[in-house]
Amino acid sequence: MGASTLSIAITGLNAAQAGLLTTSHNIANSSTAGFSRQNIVQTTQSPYYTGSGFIGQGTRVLTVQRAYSVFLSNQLTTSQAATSQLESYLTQMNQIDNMLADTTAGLSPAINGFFEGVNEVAANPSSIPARQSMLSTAQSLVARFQDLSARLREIGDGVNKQIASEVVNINSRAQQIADINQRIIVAEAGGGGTQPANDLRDQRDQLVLELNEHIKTSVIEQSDGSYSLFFGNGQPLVIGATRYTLTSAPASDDPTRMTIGLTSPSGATSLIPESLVTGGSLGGLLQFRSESLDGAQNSLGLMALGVASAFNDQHVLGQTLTGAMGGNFFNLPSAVVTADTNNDPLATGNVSITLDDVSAVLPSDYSLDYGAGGYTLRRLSDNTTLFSNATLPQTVDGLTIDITGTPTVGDSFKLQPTRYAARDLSVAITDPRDIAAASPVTTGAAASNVGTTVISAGTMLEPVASVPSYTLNYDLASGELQGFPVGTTMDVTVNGTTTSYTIGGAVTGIPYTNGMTVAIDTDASGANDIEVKFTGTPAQGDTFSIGPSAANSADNRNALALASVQTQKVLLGGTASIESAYAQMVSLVGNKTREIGVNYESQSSLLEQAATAVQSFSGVNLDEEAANLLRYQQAYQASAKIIDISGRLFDLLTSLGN
Amino acid sequence: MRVSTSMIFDSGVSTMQKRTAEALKLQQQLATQRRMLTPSDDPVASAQALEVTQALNVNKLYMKNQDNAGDSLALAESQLDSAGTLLQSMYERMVQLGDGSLTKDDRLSITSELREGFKQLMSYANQADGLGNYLFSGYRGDTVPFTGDIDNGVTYQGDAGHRELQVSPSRSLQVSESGLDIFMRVPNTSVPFRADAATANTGTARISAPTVTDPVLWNASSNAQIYDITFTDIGGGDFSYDVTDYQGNSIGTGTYTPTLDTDGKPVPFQLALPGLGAEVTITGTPANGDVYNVRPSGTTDVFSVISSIVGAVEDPTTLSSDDARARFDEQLGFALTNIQSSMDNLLKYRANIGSRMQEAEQLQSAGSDRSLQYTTTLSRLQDVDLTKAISDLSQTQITLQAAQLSFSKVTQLSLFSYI
Repeated sequence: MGASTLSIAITGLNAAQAGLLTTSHNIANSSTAGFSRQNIVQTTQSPYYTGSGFIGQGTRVLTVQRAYSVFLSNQLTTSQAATSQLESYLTQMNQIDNMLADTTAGLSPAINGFFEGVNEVAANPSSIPARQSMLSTAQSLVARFQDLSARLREIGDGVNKQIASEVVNINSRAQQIADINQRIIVAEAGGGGTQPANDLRDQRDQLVLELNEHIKTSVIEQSDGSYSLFFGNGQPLVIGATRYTLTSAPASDDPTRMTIGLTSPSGATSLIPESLVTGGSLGGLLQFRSESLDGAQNSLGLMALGVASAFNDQHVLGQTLTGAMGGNFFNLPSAVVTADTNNDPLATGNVSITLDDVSAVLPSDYSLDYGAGGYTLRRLSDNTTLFSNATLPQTVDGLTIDITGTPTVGDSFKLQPTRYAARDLSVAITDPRDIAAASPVTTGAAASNVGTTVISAGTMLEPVASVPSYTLNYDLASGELQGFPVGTTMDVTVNGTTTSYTIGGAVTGIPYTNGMTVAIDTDASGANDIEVKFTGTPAQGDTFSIGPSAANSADNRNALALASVQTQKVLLGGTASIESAYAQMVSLVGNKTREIGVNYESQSSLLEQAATAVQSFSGVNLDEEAANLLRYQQAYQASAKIIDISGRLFDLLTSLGN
Repeated sequence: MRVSTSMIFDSGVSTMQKRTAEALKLQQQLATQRRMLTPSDDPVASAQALEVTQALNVNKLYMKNQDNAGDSLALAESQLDSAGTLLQSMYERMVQLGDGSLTKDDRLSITSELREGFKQLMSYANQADGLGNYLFSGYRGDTVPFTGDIDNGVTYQGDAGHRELQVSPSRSLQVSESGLDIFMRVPNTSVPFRADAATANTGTARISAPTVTDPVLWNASSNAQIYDITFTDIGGGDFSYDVTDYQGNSIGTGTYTPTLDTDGKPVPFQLALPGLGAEVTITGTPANGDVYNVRPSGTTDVFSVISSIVGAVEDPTTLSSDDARARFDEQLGFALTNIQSSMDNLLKYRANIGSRMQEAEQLQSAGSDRSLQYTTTLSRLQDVDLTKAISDLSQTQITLQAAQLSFSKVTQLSLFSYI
């Protein structure tokens, strides 16, 4: 009996010691990240049978188990991936948001300053200082566009660098997980395959959690205890002790963009479409780039293109101080075409883009693919196919796309009509006298006219090489205005009804009606160039002249028209002026930032809840451990007491013989 | 719920961070006086604020243009005012010329005054603005609009253009007038129609300006008011005449026999223009083939009116006979009427300018009202509500202090303190 008591006491002593060790381990790791508290699982030793029944043989520690829930752990990693994604998206987005936050430093004051300069010229058309100031304000507008575009490109460069460092982070985590997998397989096999390697598993779960901060992965536990990790729709990252390597490299269709590839242990690299990389900060970066940064850059470019194109269109209708026809005021930024680096190097395809109608242009990139059937164009902002298997040239979204040379089937091109427009915008004029503030057409009525007819100051509709001189006279008998050269075509509009006339043969003039508008094609180009309006009643022989304007004119007609470009709705299908397009962009960025911010708030509170749930289940409570410490201490003391009692019993027995 | 020790720390820290972030934001709002620190704080209001700022700036531009317009118009107005006063005084001097008791020297002293007045008028008409642009040369701001002098006549070098400025979204205000309209296109009210002998005529017959007997017929729109009367000697001292219209079609013929009255003076002959409601008076004997042209007299210019009178007074033959005297009086009468007409014309443009100045002023006041309204809207969109922000800040401060205090209390609880 004595020996049994002693052995029972020893089992109790051992169990209590194991309990004390585990508790100490818990206390020591109470602030270790990813640590799950452990506890011993005690059970009774098999009793031994006597005639009096089963007598207990003491206790034994079955295993040390960790308080771990797969469900809670998965919930945590999933929330972590989603939160990190939103957080990195929000961090990037805040940069644009802050950039647009300052109302005194955004695009608005520059646009306004520029048009103030234009108005100054309208008020003092022949003043060189006023013209110089308009050029300076134009320079600052261009500089503001370039500055904003440079800051967006910096953000883009930052995204590229972060993608590269994310990839490094992910690879290092994946490597560590693969290593721990190996150690777990070895450790658990060494323990006879029954005892879990608790601390290694905690470490691995923590690594998986950290990995999910960078990219969302799904975990499958294999029968040997190792984890297999996948991302996207099943792309492997870690399989047991082997890992795949993520790579980052400039995209083949756009060298300014980092894209992701996956290299298998055998060394084969495949390109991973961006849409497959979701969750984590890497997913956030990619989402930010495709959803917001591209759009912001293209919108800014579209505004630059809009200003340049609308202003130029009006400027070429004017006349400079030296009497020349107006040229382009801004250098119109040209669309950027990038041939895919995988294109056949021997093919000669050379894509060109011409701007047709700026109001139809959208802030988007395009991809042009050449297949056996012909050309296919996709708009990347909404992934719409605009034409497929077609021949070039084609006109879509206000752009005419054409190609010279012959590409090879399979070649593709990336078209970016607006991406670099803000960067490439510049002022074409350096001499203030070259500002076309005047109109090249001047009209007049002879001083000797007897009738009351007034001819309007002419309006230019189309640029012409030179304005011809017409002397028109009124013929009472026929009621016609005569004197146009033979062959001149014109449209006469009376009360909304337009009639076309071509002078020649029986047609000697156009019938005069009070209030008629005459649009004349002066250069037989097919489009009307000059428009004048006649009001009043003419008398026989009254003469009117239409002709070129003199140089050094105080005429401000074209400057007025230029000033009105500020409020004209020239963009986005005629729905937005340049400034309202900017307001739209600010609102879009603001809304997106807010949306992401709100999502981030709610997602991070979910993450907090998931972390709390994990902590609540697995975390160490020091009070609890203190109580356990007391409990195991007392059990240890009690077991020791049994040994003491057992010794005394033995002493008692041995003393019996004395 | 089971609570782990780190939960106490984590949640405590996270709550305090949130409160600190709130306090920071309120502090920033108070420091910048702006409700929206970034567009994401209120995207709709941010975009609206941009649009309102644009409207405010455009309004400022319009107000600046209104100022400029007001200045240009005021300058033109003052010139026309001076020119009007000058014309008035010249008119008075010209009236004096009609006084038959004046000596030749008296008349010459008046004409020398008129010559000075003419130069003065030229200088008003050639006035430039502060930037050196001529006020009345139309678009050709750098061109002196009126050149010439009283003896050789004045010609207009500018054009008919007038500059405008955009003074409101829908209104562009004309800020300059062409000198052509003001000085060179004065309605010839003294003789709305005239009849002139063709320069090739060799006869001595004179023709009077047409007298309208039936204004309805004469002013019909089909009447071009352009006729030629051609005399043909048919022998026996008789002449036949043919009235042709501007297309050369004969519209009536007749016979004229020049006669002398008892004093030996030619008897005037009333020649009716057939079916047109007007007649001319022929006096004297034409030559074969002489042509007389009836024309609307159209417009004249103020400079030639003055120079014609000065020229006539200074011509020694002017007052040499009673006949010449009568002709001079008639000419002076016409000139006075035309000076009157010039002043009316000037007044008409002054009135136009005046009403535009008034419009610019009204737009100014409407503009500043709008400016105030935009500023108010902008303030409503952007500015922080101070009272609310300060009250929120103190509330956040109290909550943060409570969180800090409770955190330090809770973290002090530990069983280890008792064993």
